[in-house]
Amino acid sequence: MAPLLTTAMIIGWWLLMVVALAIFRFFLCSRASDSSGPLGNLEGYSAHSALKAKPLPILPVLLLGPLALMFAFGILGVNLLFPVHMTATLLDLWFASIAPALVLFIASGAASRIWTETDANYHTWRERRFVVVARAMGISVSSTVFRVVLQKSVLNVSLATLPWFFSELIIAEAMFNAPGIGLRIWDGAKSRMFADVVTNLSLLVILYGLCAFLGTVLHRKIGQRLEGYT
Amino acid sequence: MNKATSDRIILTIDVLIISLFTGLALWGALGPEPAIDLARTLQTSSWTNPLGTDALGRDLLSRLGGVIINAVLPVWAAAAFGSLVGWFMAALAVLPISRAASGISIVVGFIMLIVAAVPAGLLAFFGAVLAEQAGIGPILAAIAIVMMALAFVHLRNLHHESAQLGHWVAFSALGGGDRERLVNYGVFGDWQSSITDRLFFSLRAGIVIEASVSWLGYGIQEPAASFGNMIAAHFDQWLRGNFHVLIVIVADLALVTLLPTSLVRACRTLLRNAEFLDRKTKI
Repeated sequence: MAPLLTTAMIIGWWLLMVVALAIFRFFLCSRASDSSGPLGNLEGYSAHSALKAKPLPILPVLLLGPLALMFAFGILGVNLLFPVHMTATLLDLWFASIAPALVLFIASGAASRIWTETDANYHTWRERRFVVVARAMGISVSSTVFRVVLQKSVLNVSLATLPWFFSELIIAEAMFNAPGIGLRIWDGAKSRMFADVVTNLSLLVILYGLCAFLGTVLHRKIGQRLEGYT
Repeated sequence: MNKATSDRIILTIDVLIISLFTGLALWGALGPEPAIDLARTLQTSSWTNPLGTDALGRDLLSRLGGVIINAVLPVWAAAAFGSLVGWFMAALAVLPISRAASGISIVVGFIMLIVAAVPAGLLAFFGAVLAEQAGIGPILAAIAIVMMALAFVHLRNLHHESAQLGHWVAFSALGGGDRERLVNYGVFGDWQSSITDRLFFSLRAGIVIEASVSWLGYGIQEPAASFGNMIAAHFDQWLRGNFHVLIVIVADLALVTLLPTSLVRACRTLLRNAEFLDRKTKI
């Protein structure tokens, strides 16, 4: 149960970072567009279709992980490795999950993609008729499109980057000594305990499948709801 | 700063990255084999060892050159091969042939869709664990399979989107063939940029996967060099405050990861400049 909890904490932080950056980007977009006139800029709008075809800007965890460890230890004097001693509390582990989640957030391309995706979604949705109607009624554009843009951006980016997130999860856990499923798989592989490897790998695949399934269901639900938005 | 100046600066950086990579690859292919010298371990830059030495006293420049030859080029070849096969299969699948063939293409498309969703790193790692021995073979196979599936889905999506375009519909209505449309309007038309981006993405992803699996103790192992096993061998050095070797390896990994993007960006900038000059001459 403990490995699953650690992995779930990393996934949780990662998702939180995606949402937080989406909100921050949305805030920046709405401020920039409010000052650029009624139509705003259409760059994001035209960029949206091009964005879909763009490949993910992924980076290796092997590149970012050592850099994060060296930077934190050498300059800030902070050890980012997990506190896996006997007295480590759940809260310690929860805080320690931030570093691998941050590295995975950048490495899986989620950080870069959520930035562009939110911008493109904001400019796409603010030109819709229901937003124009809402504006005519005195409701601000930002409050009208906030939920739509956030839901669309977070779901699109999460679904697109999920395979790369899980691809690099073992490395991130092994590098930061996070006692999650990935580390268990690695330990099993090192000691040639193939039953352990298969069990934990299956658990990771089930977790991935569950995340992907949930994301797809939500995506479809939101898609159906948004069909009515013109 | 105007656009021309920023373009020039970016082009210079790209050319620098490409030149560094080419130099490293040539050194790896033509330079001397790095020899173990325990009297000269973990040394910093000198005339004899420009990038310093590793934990066994081997020249880091030669080791990193070896990475290009042992790991990077085979991985790129596998990723490019997988992508080309995927595109070819997708091209066959989207062309209407016969009823039986279209049934097969639906089944193949479904399988490709599932394979494309598999985390490539997990597949490569599992393949390497199953093989129970060090070697790049299972990783290359996993990279080729996943990149093939991704390329297949990519081209099919491009076709699905383009088929709705006015000029595609008009060409079809005027009696134009499917193959001509696919080649002239698609592969050598609007899709060029997307296909190039996807190809260079698969090269970058291949390196990420190979380095990750080697770091975990599978894939390429000592005495052969790979980014993964080199970082793993020197990973504890950062705890002792000895960052030199790790920084050199990580910088080289960054160089190789950035290379595909730099290459495509440099080519596009040069083509754009050439087009601009050509137009200017005509005027």
